[in-house]
Amino acid sequence: MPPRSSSRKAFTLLEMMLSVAVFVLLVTSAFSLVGATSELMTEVSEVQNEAAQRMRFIEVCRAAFESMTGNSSLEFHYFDRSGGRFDTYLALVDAPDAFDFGANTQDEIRRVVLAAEIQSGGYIRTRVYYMDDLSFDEAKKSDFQQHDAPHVELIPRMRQLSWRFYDPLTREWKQTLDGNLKSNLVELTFQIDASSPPMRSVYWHLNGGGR
Amino acid sequence: MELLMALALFTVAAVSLAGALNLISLTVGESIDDAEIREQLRAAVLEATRDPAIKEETRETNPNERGIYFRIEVVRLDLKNDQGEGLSNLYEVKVTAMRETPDGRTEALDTAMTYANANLL
Repeated sequence: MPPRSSSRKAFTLLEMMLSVAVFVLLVTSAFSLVGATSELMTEVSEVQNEAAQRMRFIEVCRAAFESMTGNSSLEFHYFDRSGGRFDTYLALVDAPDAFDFGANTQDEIRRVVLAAEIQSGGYIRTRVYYMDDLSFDEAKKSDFQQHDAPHVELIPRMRQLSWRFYDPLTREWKQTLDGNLKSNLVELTFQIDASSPPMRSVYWHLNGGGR
Repeated sequence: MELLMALALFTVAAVSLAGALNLISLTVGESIDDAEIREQLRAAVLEATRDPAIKEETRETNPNERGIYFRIEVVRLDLKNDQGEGLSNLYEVKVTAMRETPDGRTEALDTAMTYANANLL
């Protein structure tokens, strides 16, 4: 049996403990870095998604108003649902290409209604209803609470959505389309999430109705 | 020494990664802000040019939540062709997005300019 060499090299206990400590430190740092990176990327992605959703909504509305012809007109209805919070219904009359996602296929559909309806929790649901004269009259009789018109959901949860209409005579924005206001400019203000500020957009459209 | 170098390398890599991510998030935020400002500019231009009662004026909107406001300048143009015939009711509409910086300065963020004819629409 060969004699054990006393000069054999090995790590000391101190070196081993130090190595393990550094390893633990690096692993912990790496994990926290990956976690923070993942969290930041998730937040960035959410912000991007919401911004894209805002822009898509604006573009969809713009396309709808631009599709209005000289025979088209606007109607605006609103109903107090709870303590000053209103459901609003903006009807684009005789604008067959407005919000055309394939649901507006019937010739008798005269009104494409962009609805902003208060939901439980205070959120607003935005939908587009496709209505003929009969279903629109019935819906109006029930304050738009009982109808089964075909619809497309645009944004299920929104914090705020309001419309205003430009009066060229007084050069002021009006809350409603009452009387003989012939408005060609419509203002939309909406807020999807509380973390982002309200967004304002203005649309011009042909208006043959002159309500 | 080797240990220290390894730690220093790791630290540099980690700081660089954090810096890059921060830059990405800032860039995303700025691009979103730019898109929103462009949309606001478009709205302001539309509002000014499609007003049947368009007239020469300079006005400013109220600042929004981010302190951004818009200066709308409408100037009547007096243009004539080679025969000396005037082109009436033509206006130049310029909208500038402005912001007050925390140190009190005013900076212009973006500008949109177009021409509008009062009798066109």
